[in-house]
Amino acid sequence: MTTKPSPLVTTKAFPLEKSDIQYNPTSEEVSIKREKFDAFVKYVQELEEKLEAAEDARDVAQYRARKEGKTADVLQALAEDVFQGTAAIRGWLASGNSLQELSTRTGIPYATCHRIVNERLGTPNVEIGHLQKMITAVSRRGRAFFAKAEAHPRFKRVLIGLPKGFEEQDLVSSWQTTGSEVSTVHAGLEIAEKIKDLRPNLILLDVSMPNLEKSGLELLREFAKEKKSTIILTGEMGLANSALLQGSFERKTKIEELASEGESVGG
Amino acid sequence: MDNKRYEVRQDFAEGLDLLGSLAERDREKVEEAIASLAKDPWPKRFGANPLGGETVRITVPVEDDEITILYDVDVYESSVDIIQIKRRTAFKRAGEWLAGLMKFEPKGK
Repeated sequence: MTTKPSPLVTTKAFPLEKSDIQYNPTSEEVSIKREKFDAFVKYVQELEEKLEAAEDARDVAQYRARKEGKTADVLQALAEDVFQGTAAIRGWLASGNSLQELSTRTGIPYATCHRIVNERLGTPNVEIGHLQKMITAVSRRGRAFFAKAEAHPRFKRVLIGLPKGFEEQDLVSSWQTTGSEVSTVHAGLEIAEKIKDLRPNLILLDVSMPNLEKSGLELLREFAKEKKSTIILTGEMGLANSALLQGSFERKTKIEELASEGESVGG
Repeated sequence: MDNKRYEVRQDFAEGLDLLGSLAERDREKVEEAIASLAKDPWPKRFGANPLGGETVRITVPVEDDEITILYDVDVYESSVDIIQIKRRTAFKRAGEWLAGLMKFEPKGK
């Protein structure tokens, strides 16, 4: 008799989306929608409980079969099926009816022999296998999800342009703690090349840095063409950095909007 | 709980070899737990959990792991038949992982 798997939901019915994560880079707190989090924990707990119960049920069923001599009967019936009445069965029976011997003589993998015997004994190995796969899949998905949540950078690559020595380490380390890859540039002439090489998602640029070829607004216009980059030009580097880290960041999509804010935003 | 003693049998038990692999202190703990079934087949201190019918499960904590013991209790025969002795490693780890997640203190709606 084969035990049918429980009608469990699949991992597809338990989607874990990036949007379920909220990350505050300042406090480094990861927030996950409570409903989703609770559902995940409850779901895995239920799977674990079901698996443990199924394993216990299998052990009890095998114990009863051993006690009632059914294991030997099942093994013999299996051997008769496999050997189909050939003389080989006599040798196998004489060898002590072990599963390992059956596997060796027939070439059938031991695990297959074991599964067949358990199925014939009515033990729930099929359900156990199913539950184990479910737990592995869901846990792997969950682990990846939470690992991602723990190191979820708001901006993957950050380029900071500022005069050498100016608050550099504080700025760099504050972004590094959010999981961002941080690069710095100290001369205006190097900026274009750095942008080309690094393709940053955020450029934080101090307008007072030396050797800027163009005005802040001109740079802003040029950088805005890089659709994937977000550019902040400021004379108040510390203030802008702090505001960005706290998430109080408003994206400006039109260059005219930034231009209208003039010198208060740009240099 | 009654005052009678139960005969603890291990004739068809699986996992007895596990006892040999345990550290001496842990082995003694598990053996004591099994022996204690003679007096009390449903020991609360090991979280005795009836699985249906005559079968009961207890869990004995050992160093870095837990040992599950499954057994049948026959109150008419006054006997306890050990079914299985096994480690609970995977379930313990899973429980710890989930407990760790609960400390995550999720916020939001």
